[in-house]
Amino acid sequence: MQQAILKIARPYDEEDIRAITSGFERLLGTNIDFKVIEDNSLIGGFSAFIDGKVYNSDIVSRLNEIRRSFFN
Amino acid sequence: MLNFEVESIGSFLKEKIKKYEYVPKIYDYGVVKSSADDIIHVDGLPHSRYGELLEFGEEEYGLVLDLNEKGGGAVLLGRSSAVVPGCIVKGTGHVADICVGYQLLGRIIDPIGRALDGKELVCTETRPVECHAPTIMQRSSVNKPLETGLLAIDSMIPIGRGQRELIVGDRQTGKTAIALSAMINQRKGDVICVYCAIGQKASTIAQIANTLEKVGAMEHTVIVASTASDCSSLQYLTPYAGCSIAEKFMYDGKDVLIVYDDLSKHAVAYRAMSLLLRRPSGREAYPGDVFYLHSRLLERAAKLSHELGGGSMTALPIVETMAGDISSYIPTNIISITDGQIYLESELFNAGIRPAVNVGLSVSRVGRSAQHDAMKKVSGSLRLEVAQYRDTAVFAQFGADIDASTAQLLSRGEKLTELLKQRQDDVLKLSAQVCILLAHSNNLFKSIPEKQVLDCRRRLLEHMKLACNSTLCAIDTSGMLSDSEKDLLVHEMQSFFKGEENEQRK
Repeated sequence: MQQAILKIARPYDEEDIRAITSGFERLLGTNIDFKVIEDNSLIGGFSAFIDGKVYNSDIVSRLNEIRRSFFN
Repeated sequence: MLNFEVESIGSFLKEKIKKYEYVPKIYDYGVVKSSADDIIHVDGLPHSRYGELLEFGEEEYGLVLDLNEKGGGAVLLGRSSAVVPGCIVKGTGHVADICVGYQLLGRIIDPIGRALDGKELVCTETRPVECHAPTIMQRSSVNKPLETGLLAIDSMIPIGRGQRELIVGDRQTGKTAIALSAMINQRKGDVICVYCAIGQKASTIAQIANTLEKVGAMEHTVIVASTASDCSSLQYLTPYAGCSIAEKFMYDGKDVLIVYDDLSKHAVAYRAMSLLLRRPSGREAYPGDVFYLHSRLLERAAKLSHELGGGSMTALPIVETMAGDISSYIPTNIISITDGQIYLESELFNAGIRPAVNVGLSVSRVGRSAQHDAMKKVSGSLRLEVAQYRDTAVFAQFGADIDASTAQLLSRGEKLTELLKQRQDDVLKLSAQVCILLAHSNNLFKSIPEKQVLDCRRRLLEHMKLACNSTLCAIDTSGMLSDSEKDLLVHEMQSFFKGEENEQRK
């Protein structure tokens, strides 16, 4: 069982967590035990920290990326 | 006052947002364990590489310089109070790079590619800051001279394109001035210059940029600067970043001159970082790899083979000594890496002999193969003559009785010393140098009083420019001096000096 952290913004429910967990289990081929941390600074979406890697799918990083694209 | 329409901002933003495509991001991460004195210890990041860029938060970057099983040590590029224990660190997966290309000419940038001159900088191409030096087969021999415009150097310690020549001396002996003269002398030529200011005062860098601007040499020059107030990591990166910029031009087939001002400050910055990273210290508290620090940098200077375009990178590293001690750690290291050194002495500088080159201790290991034929013909025994004069002058000052031949040697030596004096921005073309040395070897200055030698030299060059302009131009373009040209020049100079003697008699 792989220990991992899931940072997620509200609103979310158990169904969302189960869907995210099963998605990652399929992707990585291993069972994952997420410690869920509620983080509203993400604005929306989630970030999963699994085995030294970050799987980033939150709104705040997307906004930051758009902001950076203004300067390039 | 900025001049733009408000509507254009809206349409610009809309366009950028429309173009944005979302791609889920996967990257390595670690957690900051400790942060002190710009050194960050990180837990995690199992796949990070030496020299990899790390991202802390939004706009803060660090450089991995220490790897172990559980994480590593990194230095912050810039001061940040935002990096605290517990922060997430993102591995970018690529090593530090710098923007390169021709848009950098005339610009002042820092070692991570930010413009320091307040103008916009468009980055179209990048190059890793740390690159491998060209291999043996990629190089060819150094045989084309790089004129510095300084008579004392071009005649006695010639520098070739692709050579590494150290400029070493105490503080305030004119080390930077020699490098600047060499850069100024390239203003109408085909050589691109890169000046790396490492841990210099911001005012000094501004002054150098102004000097280059004033004489029209800035348009073929790039200044890569880290000031004394910048953190050690930026000072450490500066010469490597400058070298990458120069390499781009070199691989494009251009000839480049790069000045590292100075590598003693670079070693000090690296020592500070290494001590904070808790690496074992060695002699003078420098880490064990301080030799490799400079050898891997200076090995990147090369003359490339014809197949690779034949470009070259000539390096002029500068090292500051303490109380004239060239046997201390960093100077000896760099002396052994480079292909020669120009040693400057405080005594000579204070006596008004500028450039204050000590001919005995200075050497160019490439030697005369990097000298124009014209210069070879006229500068044969010059080094010996200067060294002999300086030795004899030491004894003569005790008031000893001297014979006629020694008196003549001293008189010639005094004139030669005067002739070799040169101001920083008063660079001389090859033809002018050839004329001066021809006049000296034919003993034409013998009747000119020592104090008037420099004035006479100026008049001689003006006269020769009017009288033999075509011959001088031919020497400058071909680098050759035929016997007939030599006779013509000597004849013309003899008539000039006759006029001068008549003036003296009046």
